[in-house]
Amino acid sequence: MRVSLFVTCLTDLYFPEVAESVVRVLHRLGVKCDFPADQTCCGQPALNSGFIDEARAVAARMIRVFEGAGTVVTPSGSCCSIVREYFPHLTEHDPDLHARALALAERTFEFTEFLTKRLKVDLSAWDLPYPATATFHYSCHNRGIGMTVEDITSVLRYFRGLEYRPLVKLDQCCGFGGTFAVKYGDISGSMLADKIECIKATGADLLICNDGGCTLNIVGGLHRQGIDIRVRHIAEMLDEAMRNGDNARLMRGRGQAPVEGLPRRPAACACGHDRTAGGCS
Amino acid sequence: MSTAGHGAGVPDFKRQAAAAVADRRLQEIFDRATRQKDDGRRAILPELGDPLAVRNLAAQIKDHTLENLDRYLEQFIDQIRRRGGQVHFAADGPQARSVIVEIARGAGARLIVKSKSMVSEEIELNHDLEAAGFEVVETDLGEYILQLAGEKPSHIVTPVAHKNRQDVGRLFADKLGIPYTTDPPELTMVARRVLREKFRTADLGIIGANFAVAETGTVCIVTNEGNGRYCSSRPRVLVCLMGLEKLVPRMADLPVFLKLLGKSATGQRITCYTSLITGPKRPGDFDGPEEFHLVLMDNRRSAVLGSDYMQTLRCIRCGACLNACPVYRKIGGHAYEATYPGPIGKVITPLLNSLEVYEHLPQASSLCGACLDACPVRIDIPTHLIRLREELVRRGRSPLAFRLGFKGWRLGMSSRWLYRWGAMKARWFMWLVSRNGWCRWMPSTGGVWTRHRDLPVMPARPFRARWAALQKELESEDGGDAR
Amino acid sequence: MPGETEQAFFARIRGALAGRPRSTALPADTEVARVVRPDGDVVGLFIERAVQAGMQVHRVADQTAMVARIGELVEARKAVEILVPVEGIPSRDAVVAELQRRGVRLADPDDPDAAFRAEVGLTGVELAVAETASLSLISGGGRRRLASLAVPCHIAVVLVSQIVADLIDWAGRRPGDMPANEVLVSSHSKTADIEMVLVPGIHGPGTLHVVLVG
Repeated sequence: MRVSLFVTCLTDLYFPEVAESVVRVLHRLGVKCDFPADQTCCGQPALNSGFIDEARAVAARMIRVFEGAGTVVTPSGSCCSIVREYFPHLTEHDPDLHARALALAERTFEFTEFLTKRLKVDLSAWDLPYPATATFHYSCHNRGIGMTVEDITSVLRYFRGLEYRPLVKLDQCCGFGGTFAVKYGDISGSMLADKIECIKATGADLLICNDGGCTLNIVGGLHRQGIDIRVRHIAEMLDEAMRNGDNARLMRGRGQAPVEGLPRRPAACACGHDRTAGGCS
Repeated sequence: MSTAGHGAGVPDFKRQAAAAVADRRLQEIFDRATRQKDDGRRAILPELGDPLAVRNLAAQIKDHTLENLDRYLEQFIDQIRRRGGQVHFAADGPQARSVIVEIARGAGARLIVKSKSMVSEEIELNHDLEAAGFEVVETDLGEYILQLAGEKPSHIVTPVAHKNRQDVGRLFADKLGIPYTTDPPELTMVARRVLREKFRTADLGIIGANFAVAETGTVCIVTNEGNGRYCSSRPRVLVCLMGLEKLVPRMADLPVFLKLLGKSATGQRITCYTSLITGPKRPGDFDGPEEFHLVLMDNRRSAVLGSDYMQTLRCIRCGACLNACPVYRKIGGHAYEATYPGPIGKVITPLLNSLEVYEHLPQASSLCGACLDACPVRIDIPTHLIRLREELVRRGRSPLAFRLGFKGWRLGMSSRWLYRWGAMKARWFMWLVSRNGWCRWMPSTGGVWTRHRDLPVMPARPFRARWAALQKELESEDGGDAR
Repeated sequence: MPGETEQAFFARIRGALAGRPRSTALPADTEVARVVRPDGDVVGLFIERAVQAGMQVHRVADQTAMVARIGELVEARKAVEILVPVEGIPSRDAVVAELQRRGVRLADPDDPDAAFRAEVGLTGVELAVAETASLSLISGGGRRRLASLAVPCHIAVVLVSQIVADLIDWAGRRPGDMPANEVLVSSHSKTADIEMVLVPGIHGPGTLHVVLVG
């Protein structure tokens, strides 16, 4: 199966490792990515700020760039929701472009959505060690693409050794909102502080966050407060776990060396069982 | 604690919001109050089986009604008149106020009891009634407290969310001459005693309307306290002030909204009292008002009716969007300096008043969509906010920095090379103001970001520069396998 | 004359709607909103939800037992005076006799202020809704609106045959002619306006008894 990767400007420029992980994970699941190199941005910053002419122009360009693409996969839920919810609105004035926008909207998916609802991948076949205590921030735009908290956290149970601690107010906005963060900085800062308080309260050493905007916002806040909590996109977790786990037969090749990411854990899992004997339930 | 109300001059949203987020007590109060109601809503809605389907049904009924509002209003008015009620028409607040003052004069009223009505807040009715010499008493406990304090509500449904028991204790001791107490039941019973006598002796009652049924000429009001029942049963004259968007076509449609309203507002299955008022008392009735006056008010709703924002007229004023909104949770209701705060207020306040005056409201949102998620009639508030932002840009209300910035941004996004070049320039600048890979300070707009958080410097190579190497890596992972 | 003419008011509305398609249909029925089906244990659900709502429910087998139970409740309340409207209460004469036997004064139902003095108000209902534990009370004739409002304690007599399943059924049974007033009472009066502390009996009765007959 082939898909086209819509990397999004924020992920391209700020979190390229996330996009790399997306490509690797899909590859291992039998989905080859191509990358339309002309892509730039979906137009979200302009759209959200009311600059509709600019947003239209950039949206029209993206529709052209992805014209020949089949299924489109993106690591960012917010950009996905722009394509699905707003490209039709942005192209209402041009019937031909509008039809192409609808067609693109129909075949664009966010990464986790693609895995769980399109590919319907069975991750239980994989050995996915990921010893950590983790909490999860539900990025707002998951609402727009119909991904619930359970849709996403259901993937977490495949990670062996992962202890999940739910975040209080887990679906409360982190305060990013694009230009909102620089126009209404006090309110945004207050929302961020609240989110970080809740994260700290879980005692987790890992925050799972699947959106570039939220991640940029939250890591900035964590760093400002000197809080040492790692932030990972679920694609990165899958990438690392696939390589660290006993998956040679599934990876169709010599496989790579285990990834340096989290501190190396001993060969026993969190409860003390010998991992090489198949781990524990 | 901000005690500013609306109508006190030009709104200064940014200053109000900044003061609110710095107020720890306000933060605690609104966090607790909103979460309790929002959690309650989420917990009870599944009782409806398929809540989304019920919400869509409610939205459809409202849309149909609004599209045919002229016909349903005609039917509604006709039914009221058949029952012996009178109907008055007010284009705006001043007209509505003078109509009601006139009715009160005609009735020879002295004492007026009022049940909670957002529309009466909107037009600041009490002020004119008091100026005309009537004693007006708010009878909803929260509104009564606000009236004694001379303050405005901070929430559509729970108007004194911003006050604690000490505030109320001091207020009652001050205004009612009772010994200072902070015990909520005691304070509540004091209010009960005072207001009971008002109910008993009032000449005129004023109510709002949660819904109005065209088929039967019925006005429906919901309360938990029972004050609405008193206002609509005891005084000789009853005035119902209603915005023109409250109609539903048939009695059969009413249950859909009653099932959604209490659950969405406070997590209650249904409010304690649901009153259905159809005209004045009938011949042979022992009790009930002898006169029933419906005051139908427009106040720019007809302008919204014909616009792209028509959907906002579906609103049933449940407050669910307030309780779900992360911004409202942080700044409380007063910061909006508007009758209707929260997400719905951000859309309708500019529409019912002035977009220029309230230009911050549509912009002070992260567009998280929690409001749409919570709304029992599925008003797409985020999209309406974007539309209002587009309108502000069209009217030239956007700061120069943003206008120029987005022109540059558009240029940058129009080609992958300009995009790369722009990104390199941005990265270079970040590197300049950074230390150990982080920017703790940025100038100008960037400085708003760094006031509250750091900004990591962009990685040296974006994803697109790594694509070729990634391809090779994957090939070797495959073992050069052609499968 | 303050206000504007009906014509002017409608002109604005018609102007706003002009040219807009009237394309959204009115749903034929609202069954998708149904929560309770009539074929279930409607009585059991009513009791469960009434109790959840804070009502005290007393089930009795027949109207004789009902009379006795009402007497007991009024006496336990140590009520001196009770308001019993002229209409709407099953076995009213027997109830009145029982109350007199127990030495409870009956307020004059034709005194408009009676409800402000009585400690207890006794009413029947038009029907009851299991879904929301709602009691439908109407105005008119020998009924008294304030008998269920101005008193601290309201006792409502409900016959099992009066219980319908869902609010949809309540609305479906609307008589062609709505009374001047109907109220759905779904709990005792309450407020949480002061610091979200729940306080019963702010304006309406703080205590609500349902005597369920059958």
